[in-house]
Order: sequence, then structure tokens, then C-alpha cells
Amino acid sequence: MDFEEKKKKLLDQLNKATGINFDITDSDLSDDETLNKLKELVVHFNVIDSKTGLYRLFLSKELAYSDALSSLSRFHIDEEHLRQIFYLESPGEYSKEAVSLLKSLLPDSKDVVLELDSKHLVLIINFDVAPSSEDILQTASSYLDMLETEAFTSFKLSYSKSVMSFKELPNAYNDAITAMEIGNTFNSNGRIYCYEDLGLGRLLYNVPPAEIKAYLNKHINVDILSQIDEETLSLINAFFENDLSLAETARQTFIHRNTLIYRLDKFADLTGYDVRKFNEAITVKISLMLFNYIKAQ
Amino acid sequence: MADIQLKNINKKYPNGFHAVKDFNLDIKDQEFIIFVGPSGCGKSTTLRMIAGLEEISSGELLIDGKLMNDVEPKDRDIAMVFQNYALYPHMTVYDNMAFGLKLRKVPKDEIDKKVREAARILDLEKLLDRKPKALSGGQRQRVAMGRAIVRNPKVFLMDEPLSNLDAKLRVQMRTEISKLHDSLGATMIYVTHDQTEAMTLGTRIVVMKDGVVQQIDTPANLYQKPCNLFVAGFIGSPQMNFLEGTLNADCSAIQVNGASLQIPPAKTKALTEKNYGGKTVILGIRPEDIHDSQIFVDTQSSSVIEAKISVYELLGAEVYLYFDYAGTQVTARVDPRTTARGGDTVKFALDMEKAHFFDKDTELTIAN
Repeated sequence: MDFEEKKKKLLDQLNKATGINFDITDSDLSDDETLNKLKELVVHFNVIDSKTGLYRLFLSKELAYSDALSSLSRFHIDEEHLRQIFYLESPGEYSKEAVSLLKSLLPDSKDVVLELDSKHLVLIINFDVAPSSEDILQTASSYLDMLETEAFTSFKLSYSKSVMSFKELPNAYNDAITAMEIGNTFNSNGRIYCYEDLGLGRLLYNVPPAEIKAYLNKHINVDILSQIDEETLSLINAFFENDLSLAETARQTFIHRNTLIYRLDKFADLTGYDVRKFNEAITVKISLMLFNYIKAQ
Repeated sequence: MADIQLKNINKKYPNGFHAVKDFNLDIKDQEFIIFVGPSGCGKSTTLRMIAGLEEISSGELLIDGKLMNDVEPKDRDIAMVFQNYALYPHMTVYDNMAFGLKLRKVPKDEIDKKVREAARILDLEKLLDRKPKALSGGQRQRVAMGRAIVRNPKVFLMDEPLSNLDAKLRVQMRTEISKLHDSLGATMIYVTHDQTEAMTLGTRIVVMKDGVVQQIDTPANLYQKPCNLFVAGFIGSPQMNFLEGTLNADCSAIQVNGASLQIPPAKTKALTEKNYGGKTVILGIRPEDIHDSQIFVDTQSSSVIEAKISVYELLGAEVYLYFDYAGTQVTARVDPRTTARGGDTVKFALDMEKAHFFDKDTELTIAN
């Protein structure tokens, strides 16, 4: 985001918080100084007015921890408490019903529903007892199902681990956003992404484009990867998910074992890699993930 | 209620993944349609396109003749039930069922009438004051259904609603859903990966694989006349057995692992007409069409194979015998009074009247 965009965003926030339309026509301040001044004003007006404003600015790191601390007691926010952040993304604009539904779903006044923009929401949920990873996943699935059945709005959800202190919230929030980005890149058909379970995706997401290109050129180039049909791709993925077991993959995909072998042979002819061999399977897995990454870019 | 038409429906994601390919289906009012297939076959995506939760990339969706592609999900007059019961933990059963109506600002007395009626249908009247945590899995799922019923929608969409229940409850709820369909007279579309659920519930079943509809038919026809190897293998438990064999020049018999199995005239005719004489094909035979009783072996001596039993499984009303034949594991479902046991070498008679033949390359059915 360049200076003008950042300035406009902050002015919008300031206008929203104060009800007054501000503009900057003449200033001796540098760009950075202007933005900092605007941030201070936004913080001042927002923080004073609402708990959600405090959370919003703190999560986006526009409000320093030391500044936020002074407002915690005013909004009855415990500094130390077990909290879970859920980051929600809707493919289109979400409805008002979706927000009311989430608010009614979280009757505890300590829980927060933050409307970031027309497509993104954040839930901050307080727990008294540490939930298991299964509990968190189950809760996340229930929220999404509820939003679909009651508010007819489809969302994706991402999260990272629960945090014990208010101070840790921005990192948990950033991890949840990263989980959404990585999930959308490597598993775009997924619905729920957990930062801790991103596996190889988390590693590959940080590989520079030049390295990706070099890797694919050395192993399976983009032209060849583009030729693989969807049926074969889903079969290869099923083969990976079933730990390279022919029998289990054939059983789960309901195809004849000989047909599976025939298709894997065909794949090996095309790519030069036999996924029945562990080392070659790793190369294929990484190549396919990198190929998805390139496509997503 | 409602007629639904899906015309050349496609779902293509921005990353190029083609999840549903040219899906065509006419669903009649009050039909109970099942979408079934393995994970990732596009069944849930199709359901979600009908609900409006996924955009339709191309094609037309019509409900009662009205084009729905651009109609908001909330205006499509549908209700959904998912596998996660999605209940509000802090609300009573009554409030859970009433919540959607309250959100739509329906008058209180009307809400009360609808909730009590749905509770009566679902036998939840005595549980209206309880909270979800005090309910069993089956009762929670009934509440979730109640929430759908109170809306009085044109169409019910259910996505694996029984997956979270244990096996015994699933069977019980299957019956309840079937009764519910009869009493509501509603159009229902039900997604499952479980072929038993599909066979027991559906008036028609849509079998999908890799985003493509394989066959749309009644449960009986899918079982008896599968259109390809995939449907044959998917429908039926235990799975149909598949053996590779070579047909005689006149298609009167098939050679499998050195055994010659005589083919009935009607199937011979179909194989001959399609020029399969002398070719290698796949023979499909269901476990219940493989017999070990002496009377069958004697009367069907032209279709007998011999094999050593590797596993004997008594299930009470039936016995599964597993053996390797022609490099493939074969299952026979036989009478529990059988004397055959693991390690025995046994003669099996194949009921060739019930045999299926598939093209080895295209995997399409040649003769059923």
C-alpha cells in the first residue's frame, strides 16, 4: 500500500470515528510523520469510544501494547486470559445476518466479533479451560455450518494456537491471516486452515520465486505439470493421502487396483517420476505444491 | 414443494480446478435424491451451488421453473442440515429451533406454532427446555432438522447429516429421515459418501466421481445394472469382485486363471454384437453370486472355480469367505451353515446369469 492509500484509509477511519470529514491540504510533515500523526488521532478517537476499536487497532499493530494497556480495565478486558482468534473470510460481501448470528452465538460479553472489512471478520473467544485441538476444529466447523444454515453465508476460517495473554493477540492474529493465505494457495478447496497444521505449505510459502522456478525446471517443469489432467491429479493426491498404499488408494477411490497401477505408470511416463518410490513421491509432492503456488500468484 | 432442474452446471475454481463438470438433473417434486461418491467427487459442491453458497460457473439452476443462479441464498426457499449439528450451546432446544425465525422477524405466536409442530414431528416435545449438551447425538441432529423444518422450505438440502453419529444411531436416524420425507412430502437432496445410506434412503441416486455424474438411477438399477466399473464397485458392500479374463471367439465362455466359465446366451449375444470375441475383459461378480454349496456346484458345473480360503468371517446371518484368485482378492457371501473354513480348498460356482462384463480400457459396461 503506498502513502496515498494509507493516508486515505486512515482519514476514512478518522472520519468514521469522529463524524467529521478531514483532509490534508498542506503539511510540513514527511509522509511517515503524517501517517503517524493520523494513526495517533485514529487511536485516540477509536480507543476511547469502543472495545472493538481497541482490539482492531491493537491487532493491526496500529496501537502499541503499552498504549493499549491503559484502556484494558475500562473495557473489562483481562490482560491474562485464554483466548482463541478465528479469522473469517467470505468470498463475497457478508450479510448483516452473519454478524448478528455470530454475536448471538457469542453471548459472553468478553467475546468479540470484529468487522474488519466487507469480507473479513475476526472472532476473539475467551476460554476458561484450554480447548483441545479437536475442540477448536469442532467449534470452527460449527460456526461455519451455522453461518451457512442460518445466515446463508459461506466463509473460510483460519486460526493459530490459543494465547494466554492480551499481548500475544497480534501475533496469533497475524498467524491466522498467514494460515488463510497459505491455505488458499496450497489447498484452495479447503474450508478451515490451522497455522500449526500447514506443514510443507508453511515452508514452501517462503521460497523465493527464482528458487521455485529453478526447482521445477530441474525436476518437473511447468509445461509438463500443466498437462496432468484433474483425474490423475486427484488420484496422485489420494495416493499421497493413503501413505503410498496401492490397496488403500484403490479401495478409497473405488477404482480397480490394476487401473490405479496403469494410471501411475502413465504418470511416470509423462513426468519421469514414479510416485510408488518414496524419494520420487516427495519430489512430485513438492513440485505439485509449487505449481499450485505459481498458479495462485 | 418444488421441481429442481440443473442444466449443464459447471463449477470451476479460480485456480483452474474443475470441481463439477456438465451436471444435468431433473428432480421432481417430493423426490428424495441422493448424491453419492467418494471424497472430492463434487457432490457437496453441487449441493452448495443449489443452496447458493457456491457460485455456479456456468449452466442453469431452476427451482419451480425460475432461474436461481443470481438469486440470493436466503431467497431460494431452501433449508440445510449439515453433519455438525450447529446448535447454540447456550440456548434451549426451543430457542435453537426458533432462532432462525426470530432473525427473520417472524411473529412470536407463529414461531411458537411452527416450533411445536416441528417438535411433534421429530418427537422432541419433551426436550424443548433442554440445552444441547443435555442431548444425545441423535437428539441434537433431530433439533438441527427441526430448525430446518420450521422454515417450511421448498427444498431440504442435507450434507452428510449422519456422519457424526455412531453406527447404531445412524441406522436409527436413517429410518427417521425416511419417515420425515414421507410425512413432510418435501423435495430432499441428500449428500453422502456412504452407499448403504444412499441405497436405503433415495428414490433416485446420482453417483459421482471426479466431478462427473456416472449414473443416475433407482437403487435397484444401480445395483443390478451399473453403467461402468466404478459404479459397480462403489455400489454394494462387500464390493463386487473383478476378475480379468479372455473371452472365447464366440463369447460363449470366458477363461479366467485357467478356468473356463460358460456365459449365458443373452450375455453372449451382447458381447458378440459389440465384437468382444477373443478380447480380454473384466468380469464382475457380486459376493452373493458366488456359491459354495454342493447343490450349486453340481448344477452350475460349467462355471466352477477352485480356491483356497484365506479368511473365514462369520457375521451371524451370513459368512464371508475371502480367497485369492487370478491375483485378486475375491469375497464370497455364503450361507452361515457352510462347512468351509480358512485354509480349506473349496469349489465355488459363479452364477453367470448375474455376471457383469466391462471393457478393460474404457471401463464401461458391455453386458449386465
